[in-house]
Amino acid sequence: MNLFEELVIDRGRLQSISTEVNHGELNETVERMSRVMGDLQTIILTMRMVPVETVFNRFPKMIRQLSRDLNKKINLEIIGAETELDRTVIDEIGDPLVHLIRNSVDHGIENPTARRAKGKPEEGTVVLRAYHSGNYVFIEIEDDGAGINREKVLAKAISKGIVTQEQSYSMSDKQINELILASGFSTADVISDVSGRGVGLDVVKTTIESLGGNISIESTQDVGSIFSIQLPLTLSIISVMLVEIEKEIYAIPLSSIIETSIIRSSEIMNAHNQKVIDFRGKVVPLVFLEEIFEVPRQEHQDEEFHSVVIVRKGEKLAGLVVDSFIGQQEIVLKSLGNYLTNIFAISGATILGNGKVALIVDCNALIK
Amino acid sequence: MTNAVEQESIKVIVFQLADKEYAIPVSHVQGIEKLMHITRVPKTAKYVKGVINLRGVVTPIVDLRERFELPISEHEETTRIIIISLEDMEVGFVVDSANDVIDIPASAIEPQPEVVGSLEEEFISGVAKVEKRLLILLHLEKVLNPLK
Repeated sequence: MNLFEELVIDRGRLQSISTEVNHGELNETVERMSRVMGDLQTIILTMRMVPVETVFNRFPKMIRQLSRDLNKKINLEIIGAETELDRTVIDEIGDPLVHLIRNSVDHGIENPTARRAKGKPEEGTVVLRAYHSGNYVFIEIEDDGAGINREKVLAKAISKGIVTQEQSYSMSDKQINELILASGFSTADVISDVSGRGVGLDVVKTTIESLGGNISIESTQDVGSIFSIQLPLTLSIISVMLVEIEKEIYAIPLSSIIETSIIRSSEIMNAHNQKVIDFRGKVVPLVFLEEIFEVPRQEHQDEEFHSVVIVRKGEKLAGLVVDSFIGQQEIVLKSLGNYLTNIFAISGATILGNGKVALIVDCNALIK
Repeated sequence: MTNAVEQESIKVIVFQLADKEYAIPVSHVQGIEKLMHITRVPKTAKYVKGVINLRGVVTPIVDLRERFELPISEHEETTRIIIISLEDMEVGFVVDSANDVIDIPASAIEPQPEVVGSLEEEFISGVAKVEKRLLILLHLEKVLNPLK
């Protein structure tokens, strides 16, 4: 286990103990230690950061080779190669990027004849872009190729049982695009040697998610596509809001939280069989975590007040209903291991100050 | 099973579930722990009780009684968690008691007998008669697979 992470766990325990014991000098010392650790963390992270160029620099050659193999003309633009990423993320992100670029070249960029017919320049462009924003690093792969044929993708997904016809009616363009990331999926008419075996893109998605990131796809037919990867800057230490449901403690990443609020039962409205509230003029759906997580309830509660955590994913909001808020804390993100995979709405675990494990809520999974 | 034949004997950890004794090769055992707080993980199989903090590593826990569909009983002073490692997975098994470490001579191992209608069948890779005891050898992969 990473030394600094061990320190963070023990700091949490000391804080927990010092609160219980309520000893003046102990409290002061723990606070001082926390401040020093904050500075240390900054220094350590800076030492671990590596420019993404080390991963990007293999791509120009790869693209030249692919262009020759596939008889296509491709121009690769790299922007933001100096953007820095944590060393461990750099090690893991290479393979997914290789696959995504191969995907753009193989399925995205059309051959020169097809491009001419569409009125596009014969040479296709692939842009590889990296930049920082907030607590994240974004890596985008943009191409001016054929875009994703959503009808074809949907038809294939339905025929493979990945989604049903009914489900497809309520899917957004973005969700349909992202069907290509589902396992066992491939729409290539002819499976070229490069990609199209239907094995790769779902592995890309799980690798990125295992790094604490996510991938989304925007695409316009005949214009092009953008694959966006979002990765956390700090690999494993995140700030969370601890909440309680019955006796269970869950952690909600602060980066997803807009606000916390206490609402009255009377403020809850019903829209299309979904409980919602009016939050600053917006209609926000409520997600009752006790239901999602099947928390065993002692007796049925008929509360007048509800504690709600308003979370965001892109433009969309949701209100997570919990029993009570415990407080904000910095925690070490721990994996659930290789035996328990794909637990719905749980992205990992952490060890609390009292030594017990708490699960971390994956807000993105709860917002449709 | 062929593994055992290649050696003269295998060293196993013996544990108890209900009235039977089971054995797991020590090469797969990371440790034996007393019961500790288990954090429930929602939407997992019924026999997955949750996860524990094992010296800083979050480790999933399987209740073997539930896995084998044996009647559930109260946890006793003797109840233990045996930490198993298989390939890249680490999982803890809750057992009634973990008794000893013994060597099973290869000659004492027999293929599993046909026990009609027993769920356990799937999880057994053989049995061994050592002194007067009948030890059931667990097939770890089958116990841990498939999950969900």
